[in-house]
Amino acid sequence: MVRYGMVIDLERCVGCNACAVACKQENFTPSGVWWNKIVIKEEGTYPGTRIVSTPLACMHCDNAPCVSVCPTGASQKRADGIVVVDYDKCIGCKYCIQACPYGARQFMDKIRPYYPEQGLTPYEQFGYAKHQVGVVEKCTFCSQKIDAAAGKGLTPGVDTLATPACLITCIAYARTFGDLDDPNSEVSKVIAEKKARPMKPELGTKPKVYYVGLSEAW
Amino acid sequence: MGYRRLGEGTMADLTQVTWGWLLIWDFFLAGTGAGAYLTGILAEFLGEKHRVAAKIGTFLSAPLVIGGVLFLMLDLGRPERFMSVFSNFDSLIAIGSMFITAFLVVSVVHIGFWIWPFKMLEKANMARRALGIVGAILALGVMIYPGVTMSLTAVPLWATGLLPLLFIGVATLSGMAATVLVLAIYHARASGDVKERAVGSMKALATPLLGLAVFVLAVVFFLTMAVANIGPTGLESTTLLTTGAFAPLFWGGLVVAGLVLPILLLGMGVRAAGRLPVFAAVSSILLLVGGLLARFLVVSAGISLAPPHFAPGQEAYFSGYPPQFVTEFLVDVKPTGFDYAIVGVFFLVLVAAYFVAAKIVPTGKISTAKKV
Repeated sequence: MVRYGMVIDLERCVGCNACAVACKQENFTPSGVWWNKIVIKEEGTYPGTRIVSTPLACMHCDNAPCVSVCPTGASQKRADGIVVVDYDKCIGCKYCIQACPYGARQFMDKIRPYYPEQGLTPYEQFGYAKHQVGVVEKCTFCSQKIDAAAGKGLTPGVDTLATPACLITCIAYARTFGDLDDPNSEVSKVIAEKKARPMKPELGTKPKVYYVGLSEAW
Repeated sequence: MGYRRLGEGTMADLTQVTWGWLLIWDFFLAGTGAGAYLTGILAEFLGEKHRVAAKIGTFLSAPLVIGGVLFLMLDLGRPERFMSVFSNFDSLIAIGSMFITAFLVVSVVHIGFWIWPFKMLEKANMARRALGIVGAILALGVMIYPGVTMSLTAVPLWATGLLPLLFIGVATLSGMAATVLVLAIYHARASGDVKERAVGSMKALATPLLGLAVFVLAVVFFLTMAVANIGPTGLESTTLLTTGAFAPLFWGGLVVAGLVLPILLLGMGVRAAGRLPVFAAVSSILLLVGGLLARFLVVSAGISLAPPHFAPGQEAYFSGYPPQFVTEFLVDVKPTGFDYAIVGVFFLVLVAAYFVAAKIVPTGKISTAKKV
């Protein structure tokens, strides 16, 4: 059984924000909507302080609170473990936003253009058709790319066409994506070698995004 | 408290901005409706002489709950799809919606027992009481479900077993206060024998009302204490309520004006029997405002465990920079003037409604009765 997951090596991350921008390009998220964001924090006490960047997106939990609280079944976990929102089913009650302990979800109250004074650009007109107003959105592990590549002999995490945009763009090779159930996959090896751990494991959500060198403050 | 800086101490740098006044009004109206129904059933079982109180409670129930449902639907991003709320019965919103629907059916049927085309059913006491018991169970469901719903979130202030208890207490309290307020209006306009009976019902309801207010006060106390001990995020919520930006509304509004003052007034009213109606009306109004404030404070002071996220429109805080590249971002966690205005206007509307309904606008029947 395939179970997609990701590991983010914070010891490699340089905090360039390229993944956040690549995510916006791939998924055409309107102004103010960030499926993937980088939280920049100051850690330690002077003089031993440093700036730590932590990319945050959906953790695609195995035991996802957002899925069990959704009254309509719009939030669902696919067979390959990716948690997605069916925009056609979502009623926008925002319960999942309150249930998610990672702040992965955002409510689309309206579509905000990037250049309000000149309306939607042709690029925006094309891209925003993929979004709906009044529903909740979040990172999908670029499931559209994984689905499009299915049956073409491409391996998500290895072949560019079937891999999340944030990973492809990463200048520091900080991200690894693949099948967590396959012990020989790149992602499983990195997690085992570098002792990666998920964020807030004590909540019992079983996230499928792991971090290397995650600060204790999380 | 006021403005917060990202990265100070905890990861909870954003109060929840997802749920607001629309949901608060839903909680208030639906809870008050269910509480009024429960009060009506209580009066019904107290005996024939409390018939008016039973009627008032029942008549308040369905309209208030329908009002709450309207606010709930306005809060949805896609109200036109509300029917699909009954899809995943793992979700408490689905279960709660079912309780609300069933309660509305039962309470509308119950109201039917009292009104014109079915007036002959008014004598069917047994049937009405049996229906009342079913309705009371459903009313409990309507009252408790927001609390249980909120307790299954990543917000420590809400994620305790005390929240369902608070919601049950506050809903019964508001519902009973609403019933007593209408009873006081009824008393002011009635005359003779009926007037005496209204005083009797008020007297009978004053003691449970007082007890409930004390209970809610205790739950509020234990809730803030318990949440403070859960962890840093919970402590922040408690701080926000007790010494932070919400403290004036918490201490002055909820604790003193919304609970302690009505408790004292009710106690005085019960002792000085002649003044009970006025005391009961004033304390009911205060209890209703306190009930609204309790929901407002619980919803607004919730701080999520989730790392800071950027709601659409929040870029306003970043003075032109996209939030991605800002390490310090400001979130206003103060109650706004709008919040104060809503609570104040609600109080004034209740006072005005009481004066208009009880004193100023006479109907033909009662004015002739007074002349006689």
